[in-house]
Amino acid sequence: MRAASKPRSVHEHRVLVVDGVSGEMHVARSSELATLFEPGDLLVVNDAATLPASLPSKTVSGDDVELRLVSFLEDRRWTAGLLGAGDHRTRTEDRPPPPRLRVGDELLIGETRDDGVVSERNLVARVVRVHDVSPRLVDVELGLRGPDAEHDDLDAIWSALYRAGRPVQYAHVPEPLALWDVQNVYAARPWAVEMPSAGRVLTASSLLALRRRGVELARVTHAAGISSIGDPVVDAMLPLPERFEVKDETWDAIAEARKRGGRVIAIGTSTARALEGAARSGGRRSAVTDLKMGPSTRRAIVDAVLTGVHDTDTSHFSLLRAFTSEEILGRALARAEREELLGHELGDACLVWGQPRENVRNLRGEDSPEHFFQAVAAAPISVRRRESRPRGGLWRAGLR
Amino acid sequence: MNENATHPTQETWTWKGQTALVTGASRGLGKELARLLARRGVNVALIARGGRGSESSSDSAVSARVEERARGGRGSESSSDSAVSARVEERARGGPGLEDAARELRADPEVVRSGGRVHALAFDVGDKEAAHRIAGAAAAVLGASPSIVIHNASTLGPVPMPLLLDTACEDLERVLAVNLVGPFRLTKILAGPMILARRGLFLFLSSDAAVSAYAGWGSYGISKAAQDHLAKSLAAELDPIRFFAVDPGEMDTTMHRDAMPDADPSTLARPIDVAAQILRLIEASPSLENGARLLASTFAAQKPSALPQQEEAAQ
Repeated sequence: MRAASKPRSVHEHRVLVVDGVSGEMHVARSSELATLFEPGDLLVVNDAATLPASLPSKTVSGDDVELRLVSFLEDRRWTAGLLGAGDHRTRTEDRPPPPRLRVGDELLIGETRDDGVVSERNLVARVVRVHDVSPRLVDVELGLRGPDAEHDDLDAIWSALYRAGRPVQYAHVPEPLALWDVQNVYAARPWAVEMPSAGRVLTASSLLALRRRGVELARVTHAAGISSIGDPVVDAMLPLPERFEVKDETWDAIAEARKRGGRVIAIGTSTARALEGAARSGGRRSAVTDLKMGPSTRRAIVDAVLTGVHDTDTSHFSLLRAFTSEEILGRALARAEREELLGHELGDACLVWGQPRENVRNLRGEDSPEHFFQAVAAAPISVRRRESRPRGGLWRAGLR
Repeated sequence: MNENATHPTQETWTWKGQTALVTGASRGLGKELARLLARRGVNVALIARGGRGSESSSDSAVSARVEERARGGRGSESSSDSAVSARVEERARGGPGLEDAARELRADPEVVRSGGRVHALAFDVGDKEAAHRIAGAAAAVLGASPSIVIHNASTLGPVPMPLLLDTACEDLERVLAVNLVGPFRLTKILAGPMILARRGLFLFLSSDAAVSAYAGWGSYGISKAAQDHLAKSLAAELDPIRFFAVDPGEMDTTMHRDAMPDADPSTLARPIDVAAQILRLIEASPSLENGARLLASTFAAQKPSALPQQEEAAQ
C-alpha cells in the first residue's frame, strides 16, 4: 500500500465502499460522499482538534530531545514520550535514544519559527514522574520561566505550547506538515495528539450537502492518541487509555436515528471506539476508554465506519474486523491496491458497512437513551478488553 | 445557494452557554466588548498582540521591516512574510497592554459577580501562523470553541495615512493581511465546528471609511469594504450561522487619535457606550437579516422603540 506523501486536495480523495455482508465493493469519488448515505442516516464525527504535540526541546546540558505529548492529565500536566535527536524523516525506531531523565529534570522548550530557528526558551517541562514501563515515558508539568514567569497561568502556557509545538510528523511525508494540514473543518477542542484523519474528506461543502440530503450530523470528542514513539515497549502499550466525551445531544441524535430506522456511521476509528466504549460504560458522557475493537466485538451503536486505508498489521485494520470478515477485508485491501488507492493518514478512505449490529432489544421505539443503555447492559456483548486502572483525575463520571 | 440564507429567525437570544473571542481586546472598543460580555457571565478570550504595550495602532511591523531591510533581511521571503518574521517577538504572556486589560477586567466588580472568566492570549491576527494557534489555545482555555467571535483588531497602516499613490504596496498588503485575511482565516477555523452546532455569531467591525471614500483612508477603507462583503458572503453560504458587519461610529480611542490627532474628543463616543450598543445588537441578532451591515448607534439605549435597521448608506 503506497502511502500518501503529501496533503492533496480533497477532490483527489477516493473512497472504497465495502458491503461487509455481501462483500460487494466499489470506489467512489469524495465529491460523491453524500450519495453514499441515505436520508435518515446519522454521521458521527470526532471534533477533537489536533494539537501541535511535538515539542522540540533541550535538556539543561544542551541535548536535543523531542517531547511528544501522549495524553493530557490535568491542568498543566501531560504524559509524554521522549524521542532522541533527529527529525521525522528518520523513522522513530532508527533515531538515537533520548537522554535518560529523572524526576525534577527540566526540558527547555523552544519556539520554532518558520525558518526552523528556535528562539526564546521560556516554556519549560519539568519531569514529575518516570513511568515504570520505560524511562522514555514520563509525566511532565509545564511552566514558564524568564520574563514570562510572572504570568505563569494556563492562558500563557497554552499560547506558548502552540507557538513552540508542531504537529506530529510522519516519516513517509518528507515536507513538514503545518498545523493547518492536519485539522478537520469541524475541529474544536485540542484533544487529539494525532489528527483524526478519517474526517479529512468532510469539507464544509460535504457537510452541507449531507444535511441537504437529510443525513444528520453529530459529534463526539475523543483524544485520538499517538501510535508510536519508537520504543517497542512503549509502543506495545499505545494507544494509552484515551479520554472522550459524548454529550447528551449526541445520544439523543443516535436514539432519534434508531427510531426512524437510520444507520449510525462513525467517521474514524476514534469515533467508533468512543461510541462503543461509552455505550459499554452505561452511556457515560465523559470518561476514558481503552476499548480495543476486534473480531469478537459485538457492536451496539455503530453500523459502519469510515476510516483510512491501512495495512493488515495495524490497529485500524483490527477494528475493521468488528465490522466484517477477514476474507472480505482481505479482498478490500487487494481491491485498494489494484485501484492504486493511497494509504495512511493523508491517503484515501474506506467505508465499511458492518454486519448487522448486536440486536439489542427495546432499541426501536424507546424514547430515551437511558432505556437504550439499560438494554445494552443487559445484552450479551462480549468485548476483548485490556485491564485498565482508573487514573485519578481522568475519570469524570458525567452521568445525567 | 441556500434559498433560506438570510431569513431572520423566530428564536430569542440567550447568553447562557455562550463563549466569546474578541480580537484587538487590549484596549479601546475591544476591551470594552470583552468587559461587557464577561459581565454577562460569558467566558471570554481576549486576543491581542504581545510586545510593547505602548504601540499605536499603526504598524510596528512596518517599522520593524524597515529595520530588517537595513540589517539585510532574508531575501527569499515575500514582502508580507518578512514583515511577519521581523516583527517584535511575542511573549507568551503578551505585552503590558493585554495583561493589564485582562487584569482590569478580572477585577471589574460586575465581572466578579457574574462569574465570567477572562482569558488573555497574545497573538497577531495578521500572522498566518497565528490563526490555528489562536483557535486552539482559545478552545483549550474556554473549554469549547467560541460561539461568539468579534473581529475587532485592525490596523490603519502607517500614520500619518498617505494618499494611495504614496502608499507602498507592501503596506497595503499588510493592512489587508490584518484587516481582511486575518479575520477570514480565523473565521474559517472557528465557523467549522459551528456547522455541527448549527449556531454561532460573527461580528466584523467596520467603518464609515468602508462606505465613503476619504482621501488618505485608502488602504483602511478598502480593507473594511472587503471585510463587509466577506461578512455578507459568509452569511449566504453558512446560514444559520450568523455574520454581521458592524459600524461602531467614531470613538475616542487611540486608533482615532492616530488617524485624526486634531479631532475634539468631546465629539466622539465612549468605547464602553458603543460596546453596550453592540451587545444590544447581539441580543437582537436572531431577528436581523443575516449578512447585514449594521450601525451600532441604531442600538443605542435612548431609542427603545426603534426597530433595528440595516444601514447601507454613509451617514
